Amino acid sequence: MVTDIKTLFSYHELLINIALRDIKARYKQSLLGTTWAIIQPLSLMLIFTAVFSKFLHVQTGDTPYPIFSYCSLLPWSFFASSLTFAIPSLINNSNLVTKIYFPREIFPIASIMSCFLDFLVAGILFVFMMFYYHIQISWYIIFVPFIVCVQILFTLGIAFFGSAVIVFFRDVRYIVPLGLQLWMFATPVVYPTNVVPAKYLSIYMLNPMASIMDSYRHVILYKNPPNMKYLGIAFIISLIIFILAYCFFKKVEMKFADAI
Amino acid sequence: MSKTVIKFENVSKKYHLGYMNFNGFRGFLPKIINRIISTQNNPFQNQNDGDFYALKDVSFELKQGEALGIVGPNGAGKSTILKLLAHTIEPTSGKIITVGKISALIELGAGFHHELTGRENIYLYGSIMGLRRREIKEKFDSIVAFAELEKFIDTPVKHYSSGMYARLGFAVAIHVEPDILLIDEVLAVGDMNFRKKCYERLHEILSKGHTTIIFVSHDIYRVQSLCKRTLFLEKGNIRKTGHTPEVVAYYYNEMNKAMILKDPKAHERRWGTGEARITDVYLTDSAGKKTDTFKTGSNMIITMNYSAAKKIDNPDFRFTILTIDGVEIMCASSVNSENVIDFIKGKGTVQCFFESVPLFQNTYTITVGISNTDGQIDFDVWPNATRFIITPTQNKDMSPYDSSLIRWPSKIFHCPERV
Repeated sequence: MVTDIKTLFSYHELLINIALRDIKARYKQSLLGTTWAIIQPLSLMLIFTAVFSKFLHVQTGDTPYPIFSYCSLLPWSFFASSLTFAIPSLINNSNLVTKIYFPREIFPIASIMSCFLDFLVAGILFVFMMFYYHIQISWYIIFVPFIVCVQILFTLGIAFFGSAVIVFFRDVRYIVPLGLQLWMFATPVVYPTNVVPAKYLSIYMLNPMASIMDSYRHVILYKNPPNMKYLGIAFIISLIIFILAYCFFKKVEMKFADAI
Repeated sequence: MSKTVIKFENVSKKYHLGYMNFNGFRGFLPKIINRIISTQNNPFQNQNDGDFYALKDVSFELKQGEALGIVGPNGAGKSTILKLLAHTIEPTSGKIITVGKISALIELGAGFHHELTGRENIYLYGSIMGLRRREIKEKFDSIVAFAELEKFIDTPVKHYSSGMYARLGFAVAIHVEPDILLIDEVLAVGDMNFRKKCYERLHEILSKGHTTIIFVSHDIYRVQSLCKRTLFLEKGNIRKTGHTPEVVAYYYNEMNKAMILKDPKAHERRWGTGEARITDVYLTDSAGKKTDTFKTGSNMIITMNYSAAKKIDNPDFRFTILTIDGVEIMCASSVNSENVIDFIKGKGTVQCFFESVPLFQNTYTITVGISNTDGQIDFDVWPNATRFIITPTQNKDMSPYDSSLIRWPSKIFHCPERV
C-alpha cells in the first residue's frame, strides 16, 4: 500500500488536472456557476428549518435552528456529493480506463477534491451566518481540520469500495442515492444527538458520520471539546475501512478495463 | 546494439463469453466474490459457458526504434495486444515486458472533455499522457500549430468538427515523445493533408531511432510504408510474422481464401449488360506457360476469352492492374492501343502483352472489362478476375523501400561543388 501511495503521489499533476476538469466541467454553461455549491445546502437548510423547527419544534437549545442545521448540512453535503460523484467516476471515465493506464484511484480522489472545493465555497456562507447569529468562537475550533480529515478518510474508504464494485455491479448506482438518504437520517444532521435514547447511543455512534457531525457541533457551536471517545472510534473505523477499501481497490484494479 | 523494449512471451488472454449466469441465489454470493477476486480461472464458471481466447500463446519481440505493423481481420486480437501493452488489462497467462514511457494513439481524443476549451484539453490530455505541466507549456505552441487550431484554441471542443478533434488529439499524442507509441486505426479521420502530415511525422519519429511504434491498421499500404516487420493475427493466433511484403502477401491470400470459402460466388461477382461476356482470364509467361508468379522485369501476358451474343462495334477491352488494396497502378485499353478492335461477334480471344513488368515484389490483382467505345456502357466487368505475385530476382530488383511499387529506370549523378 505504501508503494501504491508513492506511485499515486508521482501522478499528483494528473490528479489536480482531473479534479480541475471535474470542477470546470460541472459549472460550465450554467448561469450561476459555483453559486450552486451554496444554493444546495442553503435550500436544504431552509426546508429543514421550516419542517423541523417551525412545524415539529425540534429543540436545539440556545443555538438557532438555521445555523444548527447548516453546520451539519455543510459537511453532510460534502460527504453525499463526494460519494455521488466518486462512486460512478470510473464508469463515467470508461474510455480512459480501457485505453490508458494510470492509478485508477485518481478518479474517485479527483471527484472528492472537486467536491471539497464546493464545500469550501459553501463554507463562506457559514462564516457569514456565524456573524449574523453572533456565535462566539472558542479555541476548540482548531479541531475542525482534524475532523475534516477524519471525514475525508472515511469518504475515501467508501468511495474506493463503491467505485470498484460498481464496475462489476451497476446495482450500486441505485443503492447510492437510497443509501445516502437513509444514512442522513441515521446521522444527527437535522436533529441534535441528544434526542437519541441513551441505551442506543453507543451503537448509534458506531456510525462514523454520527460522531463526526456531533464533533463539528461541539467545537463550532457549543464551544466544547469533541467527545474524544466517539471521535477516536470514528477515526479508527474510518482508517480500517480506508485501508481495506484501498487494498481491495488495488487488488481488482487490473480487472476494471475488462469488466467496465 | 539497440535493446529490446517490448517482449511478449506466450501471452494469452481469455474472456468468458456472455454475462454471468447465477444459479439462483445459492450460487450468487460465491460467484460475486469469485468474479471480483479471482485473477484467473473461475472455478464456478461452467466450462460450457464458452471460454474465448482473444489472444492465444502470442510471442514477439521488438527492439528500440523498430516499427511493427499488426494486420488481421476484425476480432483477431489486434486491439487486445495494444491494451495489454498499455497495461490497462492483464494477460491470463504469459509475460509482457515493456521498457519506457508508453503513449497510446487509441481513439483520438478519448481523454478530452467536451465542455472544456482546446487549451484546457491540451493540458488535461497532456497530463493523462504523462507530460508534466512545464513540458506541456513548452510544447503548447508547437502542439497548437501542428493541429492548425490557433483560431479555435479557446473554443470548447464540443463545437469542434470531428477532424479538428482528431487533429488536436494527434498533435498532443505526437508531442509526448514516448518510448513506445501505440497507434490503432486512428488516422482515418482528418483530411488528406493532415493525414499526410501525421504519417510524415511518424516517419520522422522513426528515423530518430528512439521510438518504437506498433501500428494497427487495415490500410495495407500504410503498414507497408511505415513498418519493416508485420504480424498477421487471426482469431488470437499469430498466422505469420516477418518481413512486411511477405506477410502482407500471405495475409491477402488468406483473406481471399476466406472470402471465397464464405461466399464462393464472390469471385464471380461482376456487372454489365451481358451483351458480351468474359469467359476466362489467365496469365502466361513469355514461354506461354500458365502461371501467376512473375519476376520483376519479366514479360507477362493476360489472355481474355470472350463471347458476344451480337455484333458490337468498336468495343473497348480494358486490363487494369491494381494493388491488393485496390489502388489502380495502370490500365491498358484497346481503344487507345495501336490495334483498335473494329467489332466483335461470337467467340474470341484478346491478349494484352506486358513487356518487362516494372513492378516490385508484391501481390497485384487484375480487373478486366468490355465496354463500348466511350466507356458509357459496360457489357461485362470482372473485378479482381485474377491475381499475380511478383518475386524479386536479384538485389537491384528489390525495392529500396517496402512500399514502392514501380521500378522506374533512373540514374543518379553526383556533382560535388568544386572548391
